[in-house]
Amino acid sequence: MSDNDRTLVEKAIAGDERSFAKILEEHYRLIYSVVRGIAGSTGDTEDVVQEVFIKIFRALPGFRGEARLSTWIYRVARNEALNALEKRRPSLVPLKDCEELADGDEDPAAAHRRKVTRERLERLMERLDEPQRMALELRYMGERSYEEIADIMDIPLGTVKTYIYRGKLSLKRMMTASGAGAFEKGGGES
Amino acid sequence: MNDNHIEELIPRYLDDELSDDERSMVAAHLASCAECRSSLETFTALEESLAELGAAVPSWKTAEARFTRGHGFEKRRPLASIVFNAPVFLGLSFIAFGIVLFLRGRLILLSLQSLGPRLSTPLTGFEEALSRLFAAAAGADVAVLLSIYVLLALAVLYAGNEIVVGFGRK
Repeated sequence: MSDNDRTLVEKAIAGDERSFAKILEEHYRLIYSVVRGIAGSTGDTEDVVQEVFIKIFRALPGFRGEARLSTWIYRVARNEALNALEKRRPSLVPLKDCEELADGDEDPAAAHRRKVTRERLERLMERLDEPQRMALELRYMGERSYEEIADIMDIPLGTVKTYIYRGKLSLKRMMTASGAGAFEKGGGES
Repeated sequence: MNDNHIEELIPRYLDDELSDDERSMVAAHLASCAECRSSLETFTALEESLAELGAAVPSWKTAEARFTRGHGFEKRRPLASIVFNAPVFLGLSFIAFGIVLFLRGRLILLSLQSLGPRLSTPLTGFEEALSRLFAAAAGADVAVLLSIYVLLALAVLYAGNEIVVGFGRK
């Protein structure tokens, strides 16, 4: 664990909410991508992310610093997402429309196409093995480097590259099998 | 797919992870194979779609606001809401007035003692001077009172900022 992480954790455990918020902010994309990787695009990702925040707050005093903070948070998020998925599976509802897509001056039709394309991609990703899906989520949704993913998932760098490579190959083959139209440039309707 | 095609090399070709020899071979193959060029286009589109995944993440501010509302720590309260609400204002004023009264009580007591027996008669020069002095002191008290109030307000603001309420509770 880095000195910076150690200081943040110690302050957060001592009750400094700014340090706790800083920890969450730095790992927010990681948490979101892990939850998304488990719950998929039809899960109530944002609710589970909130539960992960609470779980981290409650479990943080038990964090001994034996693993990296990001690795520990990855494990907490993954376990919490799996628990939430187990509890909520019967009530999963389609992801509500994402208002964040309205990106200022972007053409609404283009934004809609991008959203449709992304949701189709996420549905295909749900068919990947979990390690491949998680590595891809961390890489593209979590915006983590290969090296960071190796640290977070506690696996060798070469394995991360293999997961991502195999994941892309599988996705491409699923795209081809299902008609690649939805993924061609511009994300047109299929 | 024909074994001679290079589909499996395309992701590494796009990620620039091939050796120079492999890269040249893939480029030469792509130039002559329409099927693999189509694969390259699909992989490129896949890369673009994957790159869009990051946009699906709501902003941290949104998540933080929801956590703060639903479960989390109370946000720092603005100056106005701490200092300029009636109970705090009255309380601070009462404390400040008490401090002024304590500090000036002796002088006021002395003034009343000297004026008390002869309030119905004209003031002597000494008494008038004393009353002017008292009026000046009262004027100074307003400044002292305001200063004390400001100091107390700042103390309350600091303490209020450090107060954490409901942190982490549902």
